[in-house]
Amino acid sequence: MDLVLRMAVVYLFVLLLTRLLGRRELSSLQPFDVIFLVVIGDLIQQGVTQNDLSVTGIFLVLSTLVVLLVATSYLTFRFRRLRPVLEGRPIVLVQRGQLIEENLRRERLTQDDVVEQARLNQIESLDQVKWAVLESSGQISFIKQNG
Amino acid sequence: MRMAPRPVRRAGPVTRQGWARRIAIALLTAIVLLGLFDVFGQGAVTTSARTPAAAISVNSPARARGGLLFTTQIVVRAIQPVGHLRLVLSDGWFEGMTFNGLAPQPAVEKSLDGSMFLGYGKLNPGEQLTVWISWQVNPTSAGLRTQDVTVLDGERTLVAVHRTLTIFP
Repeated sequence: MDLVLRMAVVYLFVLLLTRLLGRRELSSLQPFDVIFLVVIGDLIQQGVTQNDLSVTGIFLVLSTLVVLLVATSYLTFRFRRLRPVLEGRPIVLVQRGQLIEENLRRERLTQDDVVEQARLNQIESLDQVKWAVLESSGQISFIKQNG
Repeated sequence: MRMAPRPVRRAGPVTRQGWARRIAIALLTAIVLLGLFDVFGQGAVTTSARTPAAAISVNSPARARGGLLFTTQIVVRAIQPVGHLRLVLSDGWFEGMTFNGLAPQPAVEKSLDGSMFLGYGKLNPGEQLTVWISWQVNPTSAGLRTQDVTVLDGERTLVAVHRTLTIFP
């Protein structure tokens, strides 16, 4: 019983952490981020399974994790009001070539970050951008101006 | 929502693959519920027995998994005077288990026919002896164990409890 409860508590805590951490940090895996994620995984494993060395324990933890993931996915699908809480909202960063500074600050993004992403999308200048949206996945999507 | 892709329609209401996934998720949910109801351990269970001479209660998990640590509490209460109190733990307590410690230490320890005899001396009527034993389940010891505890006064049996421990792989 304790294994299932520990996994459920840690799942909710990690969900909260990912919402607090910000989507850009999670979507861009710099070398430090990769190490950080591995360390988090190791710490979580120690806390959840502790000294449980059994196959039964693995089944219990993984089953709990999958059931919680499916439940979270179903809740976001079924209840629209929960989507911003569990997944976050898309945030407009550029509107008709103009950066929205308030939204950049909120997501701890600089103009250089947006311009870099624009270059990766073969966009030469932000003047060509109609909308740049920071999606809930952490990716920035660009919609070009017509003409 | 102009940028959203068009939804892909399925041939029927729910495909065979869809049902298979639902059944798989239902099975996983069942495993989680069984875990919550302590089917796979390691919640402690108390087993008690009483005779006109003495009473005993043993609090210890009845189900456990490899690697887990747990503590067993054995409480013996004398109803009649006991001159030479001895606790006898059957071999199932030690088979496939790591014995971490015992408190209080017995005055005499002896192994006979696989059982462990722990001698604690005199116990007056109304007095109680509490023994704590710490264990760890060896990861390779799946199966069923008989974990009986017998209270003797010298060679005379006063009271006994019969327990089993199921160890999941």
